[in-house]
Amino acid sequence: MVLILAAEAQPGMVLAADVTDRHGRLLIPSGNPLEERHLSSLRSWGVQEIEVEDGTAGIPGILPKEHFIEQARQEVLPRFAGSDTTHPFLKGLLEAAVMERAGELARERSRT
Amino acid sequence: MSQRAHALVQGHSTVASPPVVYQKLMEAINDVHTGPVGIARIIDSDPGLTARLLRVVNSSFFGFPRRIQTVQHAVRAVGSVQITDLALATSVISLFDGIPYEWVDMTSFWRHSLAVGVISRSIALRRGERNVEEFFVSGLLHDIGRIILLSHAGQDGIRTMEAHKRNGVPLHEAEHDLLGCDHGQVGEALLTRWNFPGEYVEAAAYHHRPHLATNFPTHAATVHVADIMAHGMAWGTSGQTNVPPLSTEAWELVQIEPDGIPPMVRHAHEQLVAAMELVSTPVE
Repeated sequence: MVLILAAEAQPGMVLAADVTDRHGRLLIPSGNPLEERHLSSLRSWGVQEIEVEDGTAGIPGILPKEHFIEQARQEVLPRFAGSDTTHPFLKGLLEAAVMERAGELARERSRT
Repeated sequence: MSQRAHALVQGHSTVASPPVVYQKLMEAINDVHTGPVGIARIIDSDPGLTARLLRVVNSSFFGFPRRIQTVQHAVRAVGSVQITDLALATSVISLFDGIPYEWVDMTSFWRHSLAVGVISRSIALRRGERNVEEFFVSGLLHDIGRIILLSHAGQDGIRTMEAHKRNGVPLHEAEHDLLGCDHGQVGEALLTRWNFPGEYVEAAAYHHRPHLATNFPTHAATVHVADIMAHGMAWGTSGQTNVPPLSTEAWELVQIEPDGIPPMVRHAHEQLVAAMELVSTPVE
């Protein structure tokens, strides 16, 4: 099982775990291969990461989410120099900025 | 009000008066006898404004299910006061169209300003404010003083940005030190000269020091927090390279839970893309 960023999802990948929204509501059950129509829905539902079966990840070189998140964090952190990132709001903002950038990096990569 | 800021504004001929359409709309809104039809007619008289406005009205900014073809329909769908606020935003943006600014990337500037606009609107929506478009305009106008400062201050303006980048001093402090006033004060001077409502004047004047906003503390606090979020997400820039310091009082006034940030950011990003329609020149 591989945990990947939703931005890296491709049709044909088989879900290893249910995709749920923030409230635990079931969006796509596990065991199903992803279809085109699921991909844009993932984004609008705000799903950040999904678990897919190893073999079906299929596309060689799918990177685990940590790769993109680390790279994004390095890019985003300097912006917050001088800010108190222990403050819950600023901490939340930093995380949101990192995840947004990580998604962009993953999308850029899957386009090439 | 800062004398220096006042002088800077006086010397800038482009912005001597507010957009003409704005004055007409303000009169119309305040005149009991003018209804939606009158408002629509004023907007219709400016085809450039009409085109941009209709593009935004038909975008995911509002998400109306059916296409809106006429200004009159737009006024009915969105509301007279709200359409006027949007028309105001559009006309301010077009006031600066086509002016070549050596020191400022206008697309990036408007991107940042619109980002603060849509985030402010989003915050206001969450709090159940009645006229959320007002918060959109406050956000849009908050950094308007930067354009004046940069186009007038030349080399000094560049020095403030260098000092800010090199020493990590907040931009508005560097402006104060080197130019004698900050972009908030210049914005205040400009919007006062234009006779704009106090909400917009205070949001511009105090978005870095919201505790000083005595008349419209909610507007200033909202724009302050929205500004921080826009910088955190790096959606455009008006010269500040990093996230400005957060005023905890402003944050407490505005009340955004950390959990609420990701969905707000996602929604704001969509809205920002739609709002950028106000900046692009209509393709005939």
